[in-house]
Amino acid sequence: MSLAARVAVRRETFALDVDLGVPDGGVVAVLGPNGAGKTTLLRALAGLSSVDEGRVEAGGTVWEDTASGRWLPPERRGVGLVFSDHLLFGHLTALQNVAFGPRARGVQREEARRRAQAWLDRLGIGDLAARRPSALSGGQAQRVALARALATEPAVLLLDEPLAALDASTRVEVRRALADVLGERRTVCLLVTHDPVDATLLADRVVVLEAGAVVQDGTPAELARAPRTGWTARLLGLNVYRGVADGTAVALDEGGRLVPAEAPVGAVVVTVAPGAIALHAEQPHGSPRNVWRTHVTTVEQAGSVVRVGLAGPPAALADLTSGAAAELGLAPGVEVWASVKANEVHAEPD
Amino acid sequence: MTAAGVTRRRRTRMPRGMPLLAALGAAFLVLPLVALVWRAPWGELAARLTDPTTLEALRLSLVSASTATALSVVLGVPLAWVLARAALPGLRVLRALVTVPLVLPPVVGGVALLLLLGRRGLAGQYLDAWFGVQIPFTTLAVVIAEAFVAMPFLVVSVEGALRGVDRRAEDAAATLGAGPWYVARRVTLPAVAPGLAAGTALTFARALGEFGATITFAGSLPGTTQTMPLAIYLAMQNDPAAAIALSLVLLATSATVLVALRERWVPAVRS
Repeated sequence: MSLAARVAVRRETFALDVDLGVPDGGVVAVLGPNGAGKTTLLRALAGLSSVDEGRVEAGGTVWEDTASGRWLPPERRGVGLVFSDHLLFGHLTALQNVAFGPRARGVQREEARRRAQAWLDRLGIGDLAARRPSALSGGQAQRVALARALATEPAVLLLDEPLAALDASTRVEVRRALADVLGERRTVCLLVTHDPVDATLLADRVVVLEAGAVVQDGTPAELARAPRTGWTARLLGLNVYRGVADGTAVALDEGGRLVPAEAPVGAVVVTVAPGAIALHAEQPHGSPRNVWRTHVTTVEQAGSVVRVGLAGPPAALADLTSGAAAELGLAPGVEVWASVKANEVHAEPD
Repeated sequence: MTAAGVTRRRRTRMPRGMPLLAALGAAFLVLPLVALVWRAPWGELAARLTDPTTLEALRLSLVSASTATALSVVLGVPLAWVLARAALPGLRVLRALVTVPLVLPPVVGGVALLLLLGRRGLAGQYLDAWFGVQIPFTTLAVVIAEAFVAMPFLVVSVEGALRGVDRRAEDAAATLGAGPWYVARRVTLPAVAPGLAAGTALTFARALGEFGATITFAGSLPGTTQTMPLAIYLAMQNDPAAAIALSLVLLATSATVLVALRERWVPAVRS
């Protein structure tokens, strides 16, 4: 179910020109400032807004080709679309919402209901099947929306900030459900997000859009290590680790330990902003709870800061001012001490 | 006590004299109805209402108003749809034109209908010459007159409801495999159901009370075109008690429509 798309959209005040190829099962996070064209790109792929020039091919079927004049309407493309506000049909129950797609595609009522129930069960909300959307919490409704989009077995899943409207704890749950379904499917997924954690945990590739054009394209780690613009640097580069917490410290899966200000017990996701990591030539004394010795792998200028890659464990990105970087004589291979205060280390249940 | 005092002070912070004017306004609207109910010939009401002429007028009124309402829904919903959704030049002019009957004196509407569909009318002369069809002074004329006056209520309320629909829900439905008609039936119409119900109720009420266009275009033939409002007007000349009895029936019908309107409207607004 690979996707190959070139989409050019020209409006009076705006132009979008994107070339994108995604292999089977690929999950691409689309990042970019507001107005960069992310939603326009998704709508064009879904056939909901017109493309001035381009070609979209998915799963071996040509959906659109402006050269030959071919155009498939949205209902005949295999796409699933999920918005940040779930947009469930208010007059239908959760089950009927999920069964809507199969029904619209001609599946018999009983079979459609059976599939819908299976999807709700799969997303852990099987017991809410009879509820109307108004009786669901935000996280529950978003899972129903996800089940609704998946129930048609789309070749391409388009997620427009699917977690943006959820509160922090619900976000973690829905993100995990999303990671599970994406992990086991061959569906291509485009995920528009503002959250670097979503991009890092869900996507195997990140595309950065600015002013309608792709400015950077690579794995989350590549982009974080060498962001091409200040905007990307601010957004990406958050150090994200998985680990197990014992109530005080977190043993990271990749090795090393970090002490957060507040540690839950059990599996956690730990985040540390690159700006919170300080580097020293000598072992530092005083308050930092987390100190480790490592060596520099990369040094990149990103906007006004220098982004330094550290080998670890834990491997990390640290942002320094140009002056500080020069003073330490940072270059790949140089040995340094890294430190971060406990209250800059955030752990939340995974 | 303190809390109640605070609440009371806040509630009375209204421009001086406003409550008095409001009371006058309410009395103005309610007192005529009180008078109608007060002076009703309750004792002989049953006899009056089972009078064959009355029953005939009531039947004709209900049939013609229902038919006019159905016609308004069938034609008015697509019209509202186009007004709300289409990107055509001149749409604003069209919207203004189709809502003219809302503000036009109904009797003028009746004259206009005669000039179109009367025996010498623009279209009526051909209907007569080619098919031998004469519309004026038939029950069909009553239905047409009522629909002409009442349909704009439906168009306006459905168009408003359609503008309030989140188009992205329709987009989601399209990606789920629903073609335009399927989306319209299964997503858009349910979403505008409260507006449609309100519009239908208003349209029915307006059609039921239609007088000016009907008497001009359809006349007042008992059993064929003499609806309740016409019967009431005629009865008022020589038998006021009968007119009051008939008026009570229409009042009761209107009250029922209003209740139906509220019950279907209010819960929908809440959700």
